[in-house]
Amino acid sequence: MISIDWVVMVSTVLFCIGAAGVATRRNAIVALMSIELMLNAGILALVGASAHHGDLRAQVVVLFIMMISAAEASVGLALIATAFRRQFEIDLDHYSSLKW
Amino acid sequence: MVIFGILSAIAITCGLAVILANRPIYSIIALILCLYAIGGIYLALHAEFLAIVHLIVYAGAIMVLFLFVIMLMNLDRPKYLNRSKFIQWLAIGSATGLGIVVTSAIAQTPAMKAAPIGSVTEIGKLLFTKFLVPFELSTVLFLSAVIGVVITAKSPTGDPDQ
Repeated sequence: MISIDWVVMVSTVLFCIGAAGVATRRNAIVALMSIELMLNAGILALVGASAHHGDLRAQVVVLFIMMISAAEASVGLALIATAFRRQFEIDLDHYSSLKW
Repeated sequence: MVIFGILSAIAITCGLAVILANRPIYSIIALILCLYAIGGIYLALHAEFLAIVHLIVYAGAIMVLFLFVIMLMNLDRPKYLNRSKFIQWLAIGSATGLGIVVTSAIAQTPAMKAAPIGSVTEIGKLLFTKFLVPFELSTVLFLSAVIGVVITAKSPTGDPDQ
């Protein structure tokens, strides 16, 4: 039996790695991958809680999170592709014109 | 428990490799390994259906999408850092602080009792009875995502070579 404390601990570490990646890496695709990593950390915590409580509703919610993450990744990659086609630059700092 | 420890070590190492790798393509390979390790953790937690779906959706679909974008648009260029060292250390420090805060919050919550777990059939029943409306709404979300991607990624002049 795996203790839920360890699952949540691993999930926390993965989430923090993803947050650090979003904050430090300027490559748009790597930033998007860090976001995927953070989503997966959240999913891992949900699955751990589901296994701990024997409640399957958390696993159904995980299915929904996976759907949303797939949609988010495809839309994000389409945006990156369009921005790259316009500016020939993958660096996030070059997209500062999107601020206003 | 031993399997869980090994898989967690793999997941965390590969997660670090994702954000430390020099080229995006290495980041993707590390992320795929990390997702496989997380899928293994799901298996260890007796969430077999989720483990399979996780491998199919993430490693099979989303990561291939990333790979296609990087390879087709020739985006695999080395790391280009113009952030100052101060900002980087600040980001790493705040991520570590977040980890410390969450970990201490976890340590202070009381332990809960364990309970038995259901099967794939149970998930299906839940999905099509209690969660039927969100399930149908997610198909609408997917439809809008597909339309949005097609409209966004289409070249403005309609020229396929552009």
